Amino acid sequence: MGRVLAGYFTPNASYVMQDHDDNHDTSQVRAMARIADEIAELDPDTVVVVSPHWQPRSTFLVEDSAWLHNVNDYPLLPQPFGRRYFEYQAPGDPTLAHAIIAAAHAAGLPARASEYGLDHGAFTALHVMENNRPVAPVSTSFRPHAECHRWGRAIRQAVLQSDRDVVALFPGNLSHRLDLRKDTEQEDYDARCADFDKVALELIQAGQYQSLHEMIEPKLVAAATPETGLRTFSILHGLMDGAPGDLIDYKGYKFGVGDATVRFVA
Amino acid sequence: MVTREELADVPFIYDASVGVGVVRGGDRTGRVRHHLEIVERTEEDAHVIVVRTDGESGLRFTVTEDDVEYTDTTIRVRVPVLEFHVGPVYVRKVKAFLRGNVPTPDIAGETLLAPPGTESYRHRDGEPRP
Repeated sequence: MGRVLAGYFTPNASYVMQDHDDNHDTSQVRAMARIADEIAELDPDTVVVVSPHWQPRSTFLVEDSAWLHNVNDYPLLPQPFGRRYFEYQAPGDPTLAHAIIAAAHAAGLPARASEYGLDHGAFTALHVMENNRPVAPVSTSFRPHAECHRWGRAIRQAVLQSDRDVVALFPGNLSHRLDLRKDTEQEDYDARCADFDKVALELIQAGQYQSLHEMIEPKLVAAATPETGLRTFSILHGLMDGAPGDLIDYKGYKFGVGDATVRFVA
Repeated sequence: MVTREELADVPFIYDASVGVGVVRGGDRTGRVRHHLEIVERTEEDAHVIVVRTDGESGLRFTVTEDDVEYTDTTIRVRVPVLEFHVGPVYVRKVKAFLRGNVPTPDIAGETLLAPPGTESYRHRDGEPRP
Protein backbone atom coordinates (compact mmCIF):
# COMPACT_ATOMS: atom_id res chain seq x y z
CA MET A 1 0.00 0.00 0.00
CA GLY A 2 1.38 3.37 -1.00
CA ARG A 3 1.66 6.48 1.17
CA VAL A 4 1.45 10.24 0.71
CA LEU A 5 4.44 11.17 2.85
CA ALA A 6 4.14 14.95 2.67
CA GLY A 7 2.99 17.82 0.52
CA TYR A 8 4.60 21.20 -0.06
CA PHE A 9 3.20 24.47 -1.42
CA THR A 10 6.20 26.17 -3.03
CA PRO A 11 7.11 29.24 -5.11
CA ASN A 12 7.20 28.63 -8.86
CA ALA A 13 8.55 31.85 -10.34
CA SER A 14 11.41 31.35 -12.78
CA TYR A 15 13.56 33.93 -10.93
CA VAL A 16 13.94 31.42 -8.08
CA MET A 17 15.92 29.19 -10.48
CA GLN A 18 18.13 32.10 -11.40
CA ASP A 19 18.73 32.93 -7.73
CA HIS A 20 19.57 29.28 -7.01
CA ASP A 21 21.94 28.88 -9.94
CA ASP A 22 23.68 32.18 -9.12
CA ASN A 23 24.07 31.20 -5.44
CA HIS A 24 21.94 34.12 -4.21
CA ASP A 25 21.07 33.60 -0.56
CA THR A 26 17.32 34.31 -0.69
CA SER A 27 14.64 33.04 1.66
CA GLN A 28 12.95 31.10 -1.17
CA VAL A 29 16.17 29.30 -2.11
CA ARG A 30 16.84 28.47 1.55
CA ALA A 31 13.28 27.15 1.95
CA MET A 32 13.65 24.97 -1.15
CA ALA A 33 16.97 23.60 0.14
CA ARG A 34 15.26 22.72 3.41
CA ILE A 35 12.47 20.92 1.54
CA ALA A 36 15.03 19.06 -0.57
CA ASP A 37 16.67 17.80 2.62
CA GLU A 38 13.30 16.74 4.03
CA ILE A 39 12.41 14.89 0.82
CA ALA A 40 15.77 13.12 0.83
CA GLU A 41 14.96 11.97 4.36
CA LEU A 42 11.44 10.83 3.37
CA ASP A 43 12.90 8.99 0.36
CA PRO A 44 9.76 8.84 -1.84
CA ASP A 45 9.54 6.66 -4.95
CA THR A 46 7.86 9.40 -6.97
CA VAL A 47 7.20 13.14 -6.77
CA VAL A 48 3.71 14.17 -7.89
CA VAL A 49 3.74 17.78 -9.05
CA VAL A 50 0.50 19.74 -9.53
CA SER A 51 1.26 22.51 -12.00
CA PRO A 52 -0.52 25.87 -11.62
CA HIS A 53 0.34 26.67 -15.24
CA TRP A 54 -1.41 23.59 -16.69
CA GLN A 55 -5.05 24.58 -16.74
CA PRO A 56 -7.25 22.82 -19.28
CA ARG A 57 -10.94 23.69 -19.25
CA SER A 58 -12.70 20.44 -20.13
CA THR A 59 -10.79 17.89 -18.10
CA PHE A 60 -7.90 17.03 -15.78
CA LEU A 61 -4.66 15.91 -17.40
CA VAL A 62 -1.74 13.66 -16.43
CA GLU A 63 1.67 13.44 -18.15
CA ASP A 64 2.31 9.74 -18.77
CA SER A 65 5.64 9.92 -20.63
CA ALA A 66 8.51 7.73 -19.44
CA TRP A 67 10.93 10.66 -19.83
CA LEU A 68 10.04 14.28 -19.17
CA HIS A 69 11.57 17.42 -20.71
CA ASN A 70 10.91 20.93 -19.52
CA VAL A 71 9.04 23.73 -21.31
CA ASN A 72 10.39 27.27 -20.88
CA ASP A 73 6.94 28.85 -20.68
CA TYR A 74 8.08 32.24 -19.41
CA PRO A 75 9.64 35.28 -21.11
CA LEU A 76 13.22 34.56 -22.07
CA LEU A 77 16.05 37.07 -21.94
CA PRO A 78 16.57 39.65 -23.37
CA GLN A 79 12.85 40.37 -23.08
CA PRO A 80 11.73 42.70 -20.27
CA PHE A 81 11.43 40.68 -17.03
CA GLY A 82 12.90 37.76 -19.00
CA ARG A 83 14.86 34.94 -17.39
CA ARG A 84 17.54 32.63 -18.66
CA TYR A 85 16.88 29.39 -20.51
CA PHE A 86 16.90 26.49 -18.07
CA GLU A 87 17.17 22.79 -18.82
CA TYR A 88 15.49 20.17 -16.66
CA GLN A 89 14.73 16.52 -17.39
CA ALA A 90 13.52 13.67 -15.20
CA PRO A 91 12.12 10.16 -15.51
CA GLY A 92 8.32 9.96 -15.49
CA ASP A 93 6.10 7.42 -13.74
CA PRO A 94 3.65 6.17 -16.41
CA THR A 95 2.27 3.45 -14.10
CA LEU A 96 1.24 5.93 -11.42
CA ALA A 97 0.03 8.36 -14.11
CA HIS A 98 -2.39 5.76 -15.48
CA ALA A 99 -3.49 4.79 -11.96
CA ILE A 100 -4.37 8.46 -11.28
CA ILE A 101 -6.46 8.61 -14.46
CA ALA A 102 -8.27 5.39 -13.46
CA ALA A 103 -8.96 6.74 -9.96
CA ALA A 104 -10.32 9.97 -11.44
CA HIS A 105 -12.65 8.03 -13.73
CA ALA A 106 -13.81 5.95 -10.75
CA ALA A 107 -14.62 9.25 -9.00
CA GLY A 108 -16.65 10.38 -12.00
CA LEU A 109 -14.16 13.00 -13.16
CA PRO A 110 -13.05 13.74 -16.73
CA ALA A 111 -9.33 12.90 -16.99
CA ARG A 112 -6.88 11.72 -19.62
CA ALA A 113 -3.19 11.42 -20.44
CA SER A 114 -1.36 14.14 -22.36
CA GLU A 115 2.16 14.39 -23.76
CA TYR A 116 2.93 17.81 -22.34
CA GLY A 117 6.27 17.99 -20.54
CA LEU A 118 7.10 19.96 -17.40
CA ASP A 119 6.13 23.63 -17.53
CA HIS A 120 7.93 26.09 -15.25
CA GLY A 121 5.11 25.75 -12.74
CA ALA A 122 6.27 22.17 -12.33
CA PHE A 123 10.01 22.24 -13.01
CA THR A 124 11.10 25.37 -11.12
CA ALA A 125 10.84 23.66 -7.74
CA LEU A 126 12.25 20.39 -9.10
CA HIS A 127 15.24 22.19 -10.65
CA VAL A 128 16.01 24.20 -7.52
CA MET A 129 15.71 21.08 -5.34
CA GLU A 130 17.92 19.21 -7.84
CA ASN A 131 15.38 16.39 -7.95
CA ASN A 132 16.29 13.29 -9.92
CA ARG A 133 13.49 11.03 -8.70
CA PRO A 134 10.64 9.97 -11.03
CA VAL A 135 8.02 12.68 -11.47
CA ALA A 136 4.29 12.38 -12.16
CA PRO A 137 3.08 15.79 -13.43
CA VAL A 138 -0.65 16.48 -13.17
CA SER A 139 -2.68 19.50 -14.18
CA THR A 140 -4.80 21.87 -12.22
CA SER A 141 -7.85 22.90 -14.22
CA PHE A 142 -10.46 25.57 -14.78
CA ARG A 143 -13.05 23.00 -13.62
CA PRO A 144 -15.17 23.92 -10.56
CA HIS A 145 -13.53 23.92 -7.13
CA ALA A 146 -15.60 20.95 -5.95
CA GLU A 147 -14.26 18.88 -8.86
CA CYS A 148 -10.72 20.06 -8.11
CA HIS A 149 -11.13 18.80 -4.54
CA ARG A 150 -12.28 15.41 -5.89
CA TRP A 151 -9.28 15.45 -8.26
CA GLY A 152 -7.00 15.76 -5.25
CA ARG A 153 -8.87 12.91 -3.51
CA ALA A 154 -8.53 10.76 -6.63
CA ILE A 155 -4.77 11.33 -6.81
CA ARG A 156 -4.50 10.40 -3.12
CA GLN A 157 -6.61 7.27 -3.69
CA ALA A 158 -4.41 6.23 -6.61
CA VAL A 159 -1.28 6.57 -4.47
CA LEU A 160 -2.78 4.67 -1.52
CA GLN A 161 -3.79 1.80 -3.82
CA SER A 162 -0.34 1.69 -5.46
CA ASP A 163 3.01 0.48 -4.18
CA ARG A 164 4.43 4.03 -4.33
CA ASP A 165 5.50 6.32 -1.51
CA VAL A 166 4.90 9.83 -2.81
CA VAL A 167 5.70 13.44 -1.98
CA ALA A 168 3.36 15.96 -3.62
CA LEU A 169 4.43 19.44 -4.72
CA PHE A 170 1.90 22.23 -5.18
CA PRO A 171 3.80 25.13 -6.74
CA GLY A 172 2.04 28.46 -6.95
CA ASN A 173 1.86 32.01 -5.72
CA LEU A 174 -0.63 33.50 -3.30
CA SER A 175 -1.20 37.02 -4.67
CA HIS A 176 -0.22 37.17 -8.33
CA ARG A 177 -0.28 40.59 -9.99
CA LEU A 178 2.42 40.57 -12.65
CA ASP A 179 0.64 43.51 -14.27
CA LEU A 180 1.58 45.64 -11.23
CA ARG A 181 5.22 44.52 -11.21
CA LYS A 182 7.77 47.32 -11.11
CA ASP A 183 11.54 47.47 -11.02
CA THR A 184 11.95 47.75 -7.26
CA GLU A 185 10.34 46.03 -4.30
CA GLN A 186 9.28 49.38 -2.77
CA GLU A 187 7.46 50.44 -5.95
CA ASP A 188 5.84 47.03 -6.13
CA TYR A 189 4.19 46.92 -2.71
CA ASP A 190 0.39 46.62 -2.74
CA ALA A 191 -1.40 46.59 0.62
CA ARG A 192 -4.40 44.62 -0.70
CA CYS A 193 -2.15 41.81 -1.94
CA ALA A 194 -0.23 41.76 1.33
CA ASP A 195 -3.56 41.56 3.22
CA PHE A 196 -4.74 38.73 1.00
CA ASP A 197 -1.53 36.75 1.61
CA LYS A 198 -1.88 37.20 5.38
CA VAL A 199 -5.53 36.05 5.49
CA ALA A 200 -4.86 33.11 3.15
CA LEU A 201 -1.88 31.90 5.18
CA GLU A 202 -3.88 32.06 8.43
CA LEU A 203 -6.61 29.87 6.92
CA ILE A 204 -4.09 27.47 5.36
CA GLN A 205 -2.33 27.01 8.70
CA ALA A 206 -5.69 26.34 10.34
CA GLY A 207 -6.52 23.66 7.77
CA GLN A 208 -9.46 25.76 6.48
CA TYR A 209 -8.56 25.84 2.82
CA GLN A 210 -10.96 23.43 1.09
CA SER A 211 -12.96 26.40 -0.20
CA LEU A 212 -10.44 29.19 0.26
CA HIS A 213 -12.04 31.14 -2.59
CA GLU A 214 -15.28 31.39 -0.55
CA MET A 215 -13.66 32.10 2.81
CA ILE A 216 -11.80 35.26 1.84
CA GLU A 217 -13.56 38.53 1.06
CA PRO A 218 -14.29 38.48 -2.70
CA LYS A 219 -12.87 41.97 -3.27
CA LEU A 220 -9.59 40.90 -1.66
CA VAL A 221 -9.42 37.78 -3.86
CA ALA A 222 -10.22 39.87 -6.93
CA ALA A 223 -7.49 42.37 -6.04
CA ALA A 224 -4.86 39.66 -5.49
CA THR A 225 -5.88 37.39 -8.45
CA PRO A 226 -4.15 34.34 -6.89
CA GLU A 227 -2.83 31.70 -9.27
CA THR A 228 -5.40 29.15 -10.48
CA GLY A 229 -8.12 31.18 -8.73
CA LEU A 230 -7.12 29.19 -5.59
CA ARG A 231 -8.03 25.84 -7.20
CA THR A 232 -4.56 24.60 -6.20
CA PHE A 233 -5.73 24.67 -2.58
CA SER A 234 -8.91 22.76 -3.36
CA ILE A 235 -6.75 20.03 -4.94
CA LEU A 236 -4.25 20.24 -2.07
CA HIS A 237 -7.02 19.80 0.52
CA GLY A 238 -8.22 16.65 -1.24
CA LEU A 239 -4.76 15.18 -1.75
CA MET A 240 -3.45 16.01 1.74
CA ASP A 241 -6.71 15.09 3.50
CA GLY A 242 -7.16 18.60 4.88
CA ALA A 243 -3.94 18.59 6.89
CA PRO A 244 -3.13 22.04 8.34
CA GLY A 245 -0.17 23.81 6.78
CA ASP A 246 3.11 24.41 8.57
CA LEU A 247 4.61 27.69 7.30
CA ILE A 248 8.27 27.35 6.34
CA ASP A 249 8.79 30.71 4.65
CA TYR A 250 6.87 33.78 3.55
CA LYS A 251 8.90 36.28 1.60
CA GLY A 252 6.16 38.89 1.58
CA TYR A 253 4.36 40.46 -1.35
CA LYS A 254 7.18 41.54 -3.64
CA PHE A 255 7.76 41.76 -7.39
CA GLY A 256 4.06 41.23 -8.06
CA VAL A 257 3.68 37.89 -6.28
CA GLY A 258 3.28 36.46 -2.79
CA ASP A 259 5.87 33.70 -2.36
CA ALA A 260 5.17 31.25 0.46
CA THR A 261 6.49 27.79 1.28
CA VAL A 262 4.23 25.58 3.38
CA ARG A 263 4.54 21.95 4.53
CA PHE A 264 1.54 19.59 4.87
CA VAL A 265 1.68 16.18 6.54
CA ALA A 266 -1.57 14.20 6.56
CA MET B 1 4.24 48.29 -20.49
CA VAL B 2 5.92 46.13 -23.14
CA THR B 3 4.13 46.12 -26.51
CA ARG B 4 3.71 43.39 -29.12
CA GLU B 5 5.69 45.51 -31.57
CA GLU B 6 8.69 45.46 -29.23
CA LEU B 7 8.50 41.65 -29.20
CA ALA B 8 8.02 41.30 -32.96
CA ASP B 9 11.06 39.03 -33.37
CA VAL B 10 10.00 36.56 -30.67
CA PRO B 11 8.49 33.41 -32.25
CA PHE B 12 5.87 32.92 -29.52
CA ILE B 13 4.51 35.31 -26.92
CA TYR B 14 1.57 35.26 -24.55
CA ASP B 15 -0.16 38.63 -24.33
CA ALA B 16 -2.13 38.39 -21.08
CA SER B 17 -3.50 41.93 -21.48
CA VAL B 18 -5.91 40.47 -24.05
CA GLY B 19 -5.48 36.74 -23.33
CA VAL B 20 -3.96 35.92 -26.74
CA GLY B 21 -1.00 33.74 -27.78
CA VAL B 22 0.88 34.91 -30.87
CA VAL B 23 3.00 32.58 -33.04
CA ARG B 24 5.23 34.15 -35.68
CA GLY B 25 7.44 32.36 -38.16
CA GLY B 26 7.90 31.38 -41.74
CA ASP B 27 8.76 28.58 -44.11
CA ARG B 28 12.23 26.99 -43.98
CA THR B 29 13.88 29.79 -45.91
CA GLY B 30 11.93 32.54 -44.19
CA ARG B 31 10.49 33.89 -47.45
CA VAL B 32 6.83 33.39 -46.50
CA ARG B 33 5.87 34.84 -43.15
CA HIS B 34 2.95 33.53 -41.10
CA HIS B 35 1.28 35.19 -38.13
CA LEU B 36 -1.07 33.11 -36.03
CA GLU B 37 -3.09 34.39 -33.08
CA ILE B 38 -4.57 31.90 -30.60
CA VAL B 39 -7.53 33.93 -29.44
CA GLU B 40 -9.68 31.53 -27.43
CA ARG B 41 -9.51 28.23 -25.54
CA THR B 42 -12.96 26.62 -25.92
CA GLU B 43 -14.91 24.65 -23.32
CA GLU B 44 -13.63 21.49 -25.04
CA ASP B 45 -9.98 22.67 -24.97
CA ALA B 46 -9.92 23.29 -28.73
CA HIS B 47 -8.46 26.64 -29.80
CA VAL B 48 -9.81 29.39 -32.02
CA ILE B 49 -6.99 30.73 -34.18
CA VAL B 50 -6.68 33.61 -36.63
CA VAL B 51 -4.10 33.14 -39.39
CA ARG B 52 -2.44 35.87 -41.42
CA THR B 53 0.13 35.19 -44.15
CA ASP B 54 2.30 37.98 -45.54
CA GLY B 55 0.08 40.64 -43.99
CA GLU B 56 -3.22 39.42 -45.49
CA SER B 57 -6.45 39.79 -43.55
CA GLY B 58 -7.09 37.03 -41.05
CA LEU B 59 -8.75 33.67 -41.61
CA ARG B 60 -10.39 32.16 -38.54
CA PHE B 61 -10.35 28.44 -37.67
CA THR B 62 -10.95 26.18 -34.70
CA VAL B 63 -8.22 23.57 -34.19
CA THR B 64 -7.89 20.59 -31.87
CA GLU B 65 -4.69 18.93 -30.63
CA ASP B 66 -4.95 16.48 -33.55
CA ASP B 67 -4.77 19.33 -36.08
CA VAL B 68 -1.25 20.32 -35.04
CA GLU B 69 1.96 18.32 -35.60
CA TYR B 70 5.41 19.02 -34.18
CA THR B 71 9.01 18.16 -34.93
CA ASP B 72 11.99 19.56 -33.02
CA THR B 73 11.99 22.67 -35.22
CA THR B 74 8.58 22.88 -36.87
CA ILE B 75 4.96 23.45 -35.93
CA ARG B 76 2.52 22.33 -38.64
CA VAL B 77 -1.11 23.46 -38.42
CA ARG B 78 -3.39 21.56 -40.82
CA VAL B 79 -6.23 24.03 -41.37
CA PRO B 80 -4.94 24.91 -43.94
CA VAL B 81 -1.40 23.54 -43.91
CA LEU B 82 0.84 26.15 -42.32
CA GLU B 83 4.39 25.39 -41.25
CA PHE B 84 6.37 27.51 -38.79
CA HIS B 85 10.11 26.89 -38.68
CA VAL B 86 11.23 27.97 -35.23
CA GLY B 87 13.70 26.84 -32.59
CA PRO B 88 13.00 23.81 -30.35
CA VAL B 89 12.34 26.03 -27.33
CA TYR B 90 9.48 27.72 -29.17
CA VAL B 91 8.09 24.44 -30.54
CA ARG B 92 7.74 23.24 -26.95
CA LYS B 93 6.21 26.55 -25.83
CA VAL B 94 3.51 26.46 -28.53
CA LYS B 95 2.84 22.74 -28.03
CA ALA B 96 2.30 23.24 -24.30
CA PHE B 97 0.11 26.30 -24.92
CA LEU B 98 -2.15 24.28 -27.21
CA ARG B 99 -2.37 21.57 -24.53
CA GLY B 100 -3.58 23.64 -21.60
CA ASN B 101 -0.59 25.76 -20.60
CA VAL B 102 -1.12 29.27 -19.20
CA PRO B 103 2.39 30.70 -19.42
CA THR B 104 3.95 33.55 -17.52
CA PRO B 105 2.94 36.34 -19.89
CA ASP B 106 5.33 38.21 -22.12
CA ILE B 107 2.90 41.12 -21.91
CA ALA B 108 1.41 41.22 -18.42
CA GLY B 109 -2.31 41.32 -17.76
CA GLU B 110 -4.44 40.41 -14.82
CA THR B 111 -4.01 36.83 -13.71
CA LEU B 112 -6.89 34.85 -15.08
CA LEU B 113 -9.66 34.01 -12.68
CA ALA B 114 -11.37 32.31 -15.62
CA PRO B 115 -10.26 31.63 -19.20
CA PRO B 116 -10.31 34.46 -21.70
CA GLY B 117 -13.36 34.51 -23.90
CA THR B 118 -15.76 33.47 -21.14
CA GLU B 119 -18.37 35.55 -19.35
CA SER B 120 -16.61 35.12 -16.05
CA TYR B 121 -13.36 36.56 -17.41
CA ARG B 122 -13.79 39.98 -15.87
CA HIS B 123 -11.90 42.92 -14.56
CA ARG B 124 -10.98 42.76 -10.89
CA ASP B 125 -13.70 45.35 -10.12
CA GLY B 126 -16.31 42.90 -11.39
CA GLU B 127 -17.07 44.69 -14.64
CA PRO B 128 -16.99 42.71 -17.91
CA ARG B 129 -13.75 42.92 -19.86
CA PRO B 130 -14.25 45.18 -22.88
